Amino acid sequence: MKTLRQLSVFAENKPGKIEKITKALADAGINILAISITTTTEGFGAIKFIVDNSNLALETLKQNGFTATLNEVLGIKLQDKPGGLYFVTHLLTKNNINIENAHVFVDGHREKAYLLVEVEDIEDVKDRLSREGLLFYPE
Amino acid sequence: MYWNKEAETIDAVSLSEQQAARLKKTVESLYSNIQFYKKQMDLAGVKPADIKTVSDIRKLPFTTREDLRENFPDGLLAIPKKDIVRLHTSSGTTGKPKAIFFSKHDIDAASDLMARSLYMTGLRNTDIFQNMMTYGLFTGALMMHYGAEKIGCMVIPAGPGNTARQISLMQDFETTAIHITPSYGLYLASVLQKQGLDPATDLSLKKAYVGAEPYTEETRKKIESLLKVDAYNCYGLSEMNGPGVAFECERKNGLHLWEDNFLMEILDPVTGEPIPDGEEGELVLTTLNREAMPILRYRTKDITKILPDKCPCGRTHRRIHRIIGRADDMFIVKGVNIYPQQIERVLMSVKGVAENYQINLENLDKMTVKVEIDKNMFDGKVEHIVTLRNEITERLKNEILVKPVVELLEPGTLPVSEGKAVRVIDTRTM
Repeated sequence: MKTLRQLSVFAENKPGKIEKITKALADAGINILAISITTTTEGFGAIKFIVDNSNLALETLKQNGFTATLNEVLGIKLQDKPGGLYFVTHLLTKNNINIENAHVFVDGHREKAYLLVEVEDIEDVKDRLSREGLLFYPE
Repeated sequence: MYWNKEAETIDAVSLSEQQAARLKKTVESLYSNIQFYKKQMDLAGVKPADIKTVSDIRKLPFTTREDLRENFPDGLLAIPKKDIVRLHTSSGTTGKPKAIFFSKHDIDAASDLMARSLYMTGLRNTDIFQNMMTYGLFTGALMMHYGAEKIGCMVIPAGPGNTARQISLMQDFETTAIHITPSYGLYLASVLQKQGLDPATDLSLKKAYVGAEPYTEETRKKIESLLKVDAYNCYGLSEMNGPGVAFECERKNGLHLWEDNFLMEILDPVTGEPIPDGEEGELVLTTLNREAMPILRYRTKDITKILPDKCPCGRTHRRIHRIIGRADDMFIVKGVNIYPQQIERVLMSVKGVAENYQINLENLDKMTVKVEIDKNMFDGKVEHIVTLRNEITERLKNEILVKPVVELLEPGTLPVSEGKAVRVIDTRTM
């Protein structure tokens, strides 16, 4: 796997929505590694997942009538110590990189944590940050 | 360029005189021959002798579709049955249909108007006219057929459907003009595409007469670009002969309503009061040249407006705007008259939303437009949905002058109703 793919599900802001989505994923035997929820004041939002089998997850959700899509995100490795997140965000700011969305993902072995960021040009950002010595998922 | 230059370019004074004479004759006939109209006119306290000019139309009673149904089958005949040569019915979704009778004179007059309309768009006797409408009780196919034949076209009475055969007819006989519904037009284009046929090189099509279903300017342009034709909008209703009441000329900017055959009024759908030229109202029509079944001030329920400027084509018959909506469907929010069709037009022209929508009206005139997003537009970015929502809100506000709340829903959320969809849910209480 060269890139990290995030599953996004369009959802109206209604009780029971996440339950239905996660049930569909559970029934298909999909493991959720990270979740983030984006809502707007307009009554809808997107629920974003990192899962162990993104293709199957997308297929499962579509079959269950959900509006879902896969998009690439950049996973930046975080150091497991105080200031670890600050170290990364500082470099993002220094390089003038704007983040559209971000959340944290702990990898399958429960050992390493990554800051997942949605940016416009992943390759460009990756290039700039690797010059700063940052590592990415998958390593 | 004119089928009947004298009739089509008649000056306002002569037209008004002709209309007055025909109106008088019509009123005399229906007063003395039709019980229903005699009763209605007596109730309104008006006698045929009171009708001297066109403006006297306002003294006369209206006719509604309910009147037509109540007098079904033959309560509105002005001539003996032996002189009737044709019956058409207009399908009623509820209850009885409406019956429309024609004398020989009426069929000839309707055909002549149809020929006038088609000729106006450039149709000539060298054209091959393939008619893809349903022949039968419906007036649309037959009246167009007569008009095209009257011009001298070779008419192919193909009827609708059987697309493979339609295409081979078009290829074998080099069809240059078709009469088609907008939905079938789009379908035909998709089949041609699938078969790898390019209308520009594999067909000889030049013109499409598109009608029988309401459609938008966007749909017209789509049909024109897909089929490589000029598409013309026509307006008519069975109660008024069928197609050919009003038709677009080559300018495709409004439909000339044949005022020597129909007296046109644009009225407030609620009060029945006249509306000035250029403003929207209900189209009300009186037949001026019909023997068997003359109809007074028929409430078409179609909302349009008169385009007051002179048409550069030289025809003096005033133009109406493409039908804006149905009076039955109108609702009022913050004092503004709104038609669901206006909302639909905007939604159809926005990329990223599906066809299904619903309008909810709540107390204090809160208007919410619910629309499903297109499955394929969702790319995981909420910002894009917010942008889409803002675009829809802005465009709706420009169209209806009221800013609604726009709710974007997941596909498949709104109920899909069969047949006529329920679009407006009004829970306002006074």
